[in-house]
Amino acid sequence: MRNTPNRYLIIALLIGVVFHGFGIFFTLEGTYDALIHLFFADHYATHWFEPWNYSWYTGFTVMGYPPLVHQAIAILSLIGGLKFGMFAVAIIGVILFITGVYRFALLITANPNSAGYAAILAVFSSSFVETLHIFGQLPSIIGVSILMHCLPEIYLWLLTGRKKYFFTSLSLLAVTVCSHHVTPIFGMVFFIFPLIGMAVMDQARSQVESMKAITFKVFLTAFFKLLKRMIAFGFTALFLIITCILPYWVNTKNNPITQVPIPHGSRDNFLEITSSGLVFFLIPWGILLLLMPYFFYRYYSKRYLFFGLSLTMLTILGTGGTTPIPKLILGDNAFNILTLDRFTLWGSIMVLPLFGEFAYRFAEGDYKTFLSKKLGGLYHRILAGFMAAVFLGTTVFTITLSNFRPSQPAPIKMLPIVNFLNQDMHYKWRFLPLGFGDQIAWLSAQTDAMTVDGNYHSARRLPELTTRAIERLENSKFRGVEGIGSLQQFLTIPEKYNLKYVFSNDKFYDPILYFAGWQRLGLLENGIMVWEKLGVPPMPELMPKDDIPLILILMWGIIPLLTVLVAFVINIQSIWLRALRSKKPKKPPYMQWKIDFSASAKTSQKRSQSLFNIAHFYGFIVVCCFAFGIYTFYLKNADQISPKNVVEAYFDALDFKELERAYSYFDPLSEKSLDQFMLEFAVTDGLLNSYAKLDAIRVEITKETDSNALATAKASWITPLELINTSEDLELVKRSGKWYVKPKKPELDLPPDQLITVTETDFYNHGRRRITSEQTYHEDVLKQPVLEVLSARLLKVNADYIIVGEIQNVDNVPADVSVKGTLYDENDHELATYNAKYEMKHKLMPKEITSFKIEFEGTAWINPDEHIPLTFNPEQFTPIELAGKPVNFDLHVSGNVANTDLYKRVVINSIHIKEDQLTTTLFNPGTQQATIPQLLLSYYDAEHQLRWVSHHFLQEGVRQQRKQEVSVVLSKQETELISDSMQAIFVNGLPNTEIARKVVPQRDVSQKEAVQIALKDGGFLKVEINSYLGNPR
Amino acid sequence: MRVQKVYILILTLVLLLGFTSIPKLQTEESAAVLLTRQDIYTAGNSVTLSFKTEAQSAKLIVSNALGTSIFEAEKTTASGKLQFLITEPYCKSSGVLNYTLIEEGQTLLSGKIQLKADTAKISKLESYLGPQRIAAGGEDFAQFTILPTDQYDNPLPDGTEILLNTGYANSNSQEVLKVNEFISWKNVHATTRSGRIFVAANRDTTTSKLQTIYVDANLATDFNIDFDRPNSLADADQLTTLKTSSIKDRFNNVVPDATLVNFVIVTNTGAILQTSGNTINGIAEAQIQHPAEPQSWTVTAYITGIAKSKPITISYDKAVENIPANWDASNRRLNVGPLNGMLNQTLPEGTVVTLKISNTNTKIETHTKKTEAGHVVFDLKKAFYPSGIYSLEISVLGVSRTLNSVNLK
Repeated sequence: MRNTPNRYLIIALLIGVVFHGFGIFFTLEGTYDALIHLFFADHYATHWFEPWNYSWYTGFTVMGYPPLVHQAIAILSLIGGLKFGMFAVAIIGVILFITGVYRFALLITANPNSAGYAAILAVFSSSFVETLHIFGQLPSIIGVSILMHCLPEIYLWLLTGRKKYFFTSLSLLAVTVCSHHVTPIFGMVFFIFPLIGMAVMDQARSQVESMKAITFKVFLTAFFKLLKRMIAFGFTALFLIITCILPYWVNTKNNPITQVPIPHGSRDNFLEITSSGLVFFLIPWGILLLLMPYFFYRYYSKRYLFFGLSLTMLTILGTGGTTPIPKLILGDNAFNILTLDRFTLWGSIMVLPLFGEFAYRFAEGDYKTFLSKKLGGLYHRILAGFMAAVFLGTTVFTITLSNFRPSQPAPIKMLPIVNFLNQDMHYKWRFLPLGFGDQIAWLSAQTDAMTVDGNYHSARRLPELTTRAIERLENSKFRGVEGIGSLQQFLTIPEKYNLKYVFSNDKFYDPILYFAGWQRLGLLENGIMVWEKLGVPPMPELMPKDDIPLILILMWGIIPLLTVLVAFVINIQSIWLRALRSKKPKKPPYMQWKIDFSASAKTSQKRSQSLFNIAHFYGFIVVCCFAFGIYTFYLKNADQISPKNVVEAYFDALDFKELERAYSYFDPLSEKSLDQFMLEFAVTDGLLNSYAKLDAIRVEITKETDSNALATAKASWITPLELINTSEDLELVKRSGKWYVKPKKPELDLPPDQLITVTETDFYNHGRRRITSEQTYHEDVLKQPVLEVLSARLLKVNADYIIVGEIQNVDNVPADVSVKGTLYDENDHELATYNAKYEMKHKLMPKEITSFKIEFEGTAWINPDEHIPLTFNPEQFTPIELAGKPVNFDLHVSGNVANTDLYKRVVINSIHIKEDQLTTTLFNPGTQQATIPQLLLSYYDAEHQLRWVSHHFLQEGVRQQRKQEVSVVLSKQETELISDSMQAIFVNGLPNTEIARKVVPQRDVSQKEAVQIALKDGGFLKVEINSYLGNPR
Repeated sequence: MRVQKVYILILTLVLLLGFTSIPKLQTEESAAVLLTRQDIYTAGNSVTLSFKTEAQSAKLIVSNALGTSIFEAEKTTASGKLQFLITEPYCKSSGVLNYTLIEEGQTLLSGKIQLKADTAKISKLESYLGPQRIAAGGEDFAQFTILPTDQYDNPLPDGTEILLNTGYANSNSQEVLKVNEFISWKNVHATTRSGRIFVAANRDTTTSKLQTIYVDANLATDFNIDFDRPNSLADADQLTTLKTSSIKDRFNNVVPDATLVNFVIVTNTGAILQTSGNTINGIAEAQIQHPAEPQSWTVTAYITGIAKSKPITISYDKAVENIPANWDASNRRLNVGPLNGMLNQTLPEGTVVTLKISNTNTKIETHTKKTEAGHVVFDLKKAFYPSGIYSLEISVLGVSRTLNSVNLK
């Protein structure tokens, strides 16, 4: 092209490599996607030709994502490890992007200076920075960069018809295809089609005198002249798109994405959800928004007309759900599968050449002359400073965004987890990380152990996952009922998935784990809590996988890198040949359309003037919009202008545990000090205080005077276990124009003792006593505790079926109990299987009894026409659809020796039943704080037969030697007895009837009735307590 | 008829020819003869099989319970004799060893020899025990199973004697067990006292692992309970400790630690309260806070379904005598206090004071507050309570006092 390299390009490359190369070490590992690509790379590094990966989702095929970038990282990882590979590929991506922008800009502007400016600006382009440093979309970056390299070659092929360009363009396109599947497809539409249009336009232009002379007829003639080349290119390109990643298309056809769409911020209404607007609109466009008129003005000039149309399209599609247009254009299906932020990315890349051109004209070209003449040099400098500040400010803000708004939990040291999984054959079970963010991919890359979760949601296979709009179980709390519902299902029947270990990085999930029968193993040295479920079988030695034809496997392993090799040879060879030729190379044809924008150029004053006016007017409007946005933001934060606002603000502050802010809403004349308030808050613990998130609040002002008000705040809180509605009365007072909340008196109750002494039996299970890597010795295996099922009944509740009953631990050691029930129809066909979840005490002391209830839960919303509720309700229950009518059931109870969570001290200190209201005071005489006490309510009929079991979680914990009063509405369900046959009940695989006959032969059945409280309707009620300790000591 | 003659002729010819050709019969004498006479060996000793045969390239197929293999002849000592050395692991595994001598797919000779376990060298007594925990009394038992093997891991023949040693407390006993169908086993019945029974087997110098049978106490029998409390006041503050006697089974063994005892309290108002404790040395303790009003409790403790205690009665007396209250009409404020207990002390912080407000046309409203230094203040704001005649009922720890016809201005 040129003998001397463009100095701007050199500068851009130097700055780019230093800036991004430095930045990625701090950002890339915290991005959304980078670690996923790392995980895939790890797969290729260890099993290059193996398309099946067992690590995630009970196995999935890696043919669901084009492999080039992953394979490149894998190859580079052989030199310096996976992360080295990732960083190397990222830096290569940066270089390719900058050079790509340069070549693309040169093609568009035909001006090396403009192109050089574009290359420099590309380094700091906020959309590029966001894609690399926040999203970590390496394949997308590589794909679009190579595509930009490809564009000049396509142009040259179309105009010159030389075979060389045909091959270079296609070789580059093949690389694009192998690195990202969406880029070439949409790149065809949004980049290559306009480019063809421009090529035709140039062809037409060369036949007439001026741009104005190009009529439709001339254009058409030119079009037909180039048609053959277009067709040749088009079909070969299509062929490449299909064959290069043929296994991908075959896989897509075989495993179509039938799953429920996962919500993505880029589909939000950006005006409503401002955070999405920031990330998917404001940041990627950045300063480009201010220059929109210039871009449209230039791209709608005749030569670039098709780019103008394309840019319009990209801009509109990039607005997501703000307007209904993108949905209309794409259709429902594509709209719900595609992430629309990519359109904004392409749009912002498309305008880069013009941005470069503008910068050139503004910095040293005709605009500088124009502005200096019109408003003087100072204005020009101020404007330049302002724009540079906004531009660089956006970039710096973007690259550091994850510091302001962490998108990921803090980096977790994986080594202790990896070691844990390798120890004692823990890898023989599946694990589930909770609260890890995208770091689960990094964990999976380091261990061979498998998880039921995963981080590439297109590959999900279990119906429990695909029917719900949840990306991962790991962050299910952000996905409302669907997330928690899925998680509960996995935790309630873990043996179905061989799931034994949960790594919890978020204490929010701890209560679900406890009440679903899991127990804590302890903290790893990186602060991750390991939970374990006893009695889960290990994974089978042989596991199923999809059979994939050998030819596809070979294509997948060979073609991608081959395309790089071919592209490298062809393109480098042409550069070599060019360099070897002694004569000065001919300028490529697109260079002849250069427009002179230099300072001395005679550009139209009139046009510049009108553009100047439009740009300033537009800029003014954009700045106004921005100011208005900030003003509304401020108004929302005016907390104390009305009684309602102050209550809402107070609850908001409490929700986010911003205690100083909450305190600032307290009546300044009250005597409560901040210290006192902090202390009072610190001693309250429980479901509401420690595990709840405010979902909605409704404030009713019941009585209001000028200076006083009485408000009732009805709040609903999301907790891992259930939705809690609270109603709190608050006294409000107005002082010097501001409303305040009157603080409440602290709990005055004083415990009787200062120092509590309790003698307790403690248990410790050595597990393997011998330090050996062999199977555990027979005599080291603890005997399973003997349990006895005292009663079990299959009941029908409305249209659903449940199994209720009572179990006693008749052994002399504490037992961890899980109960699995199966329903059968009259032909003894199995209908459904499920485990007891919340309605039972999973840990039983010797001779302790628990009631249990098994509800048969189905996979929610498995039918597409079912309506998914919009609001969150963790208690949401989806009954299973049965194929027949259950008439019989069996129970499998398994017990394992338990040595944790055996705190049984909480006492029913008073009880009172009035109408349907049960009021009871719980008292905790022990030494542990019962964080979440649960009441298990068993309802019996007049014959003392169990009819229904329900549960109630206390919102507040019971501290040591303190009371907690709780009021529960008795919710007895009418049930119909289907079967009370005790024949098919097995405990640890042994028949229950034998155990009942042998262990407690002369059972005094009436003793069970001693705790049953008579109800008005002739029935009886039993109250049991099960307490979760948040911080056992 | 001429044709028929021809037929008869042909038939005769065929028959003649048929009877003249002699079919090849199997050779009368076998192609190989076993020279080795011994057919019972001891595992581990070398086994050599010699054959007399002309087939010099014959091979020996050997198979036993573990697998099949093919051996080549050791060396040709003399013509017409083949010798095979049966090597490891075939010479070490007891049981039947089948052999077949073949040459070019033809079976020359087949037979079998016996290998016996080396009873002289018992090297391992593998032992199993289950269940590990049994209940005292003699009915329950654990099965101790021994799998004696020789140094090559071969099971020993029936009738091999194994010595079983059982130790309980300070007494040991010995018993001879005989191997039957490769194993020997013994049902060790529980003792009437709880403790540990140790069992181990040995023969000569070879011993098994020591196995432990934990004999736990049998089911608990009925027991007594008692209580202990700092005072007898219904002050909703102090704790009463309920305690069982040492709970034992019918053989006088103390029940295992951590057995859950459920104390069920029936109050004179009909409520059923529960507290529970785990036994330590047979004694379970549980605590419960004193009631907030004078009550009489009947307490029974249960190891549900298995044993229970005799009921005991606990009474709580009222903790407060009178309720001083002062209505401040000008501020619409009700001052309750100082509330003093039986020792004339201030009632514990946080004692609940309930105020029921009623007048003729409004429904009863209840407010509860907790005492601070024996005092509680109720403000009846005008905004919430319009002027009129009200009746105020104050109750503290089950004691009530009513202020009738209070005029709220």
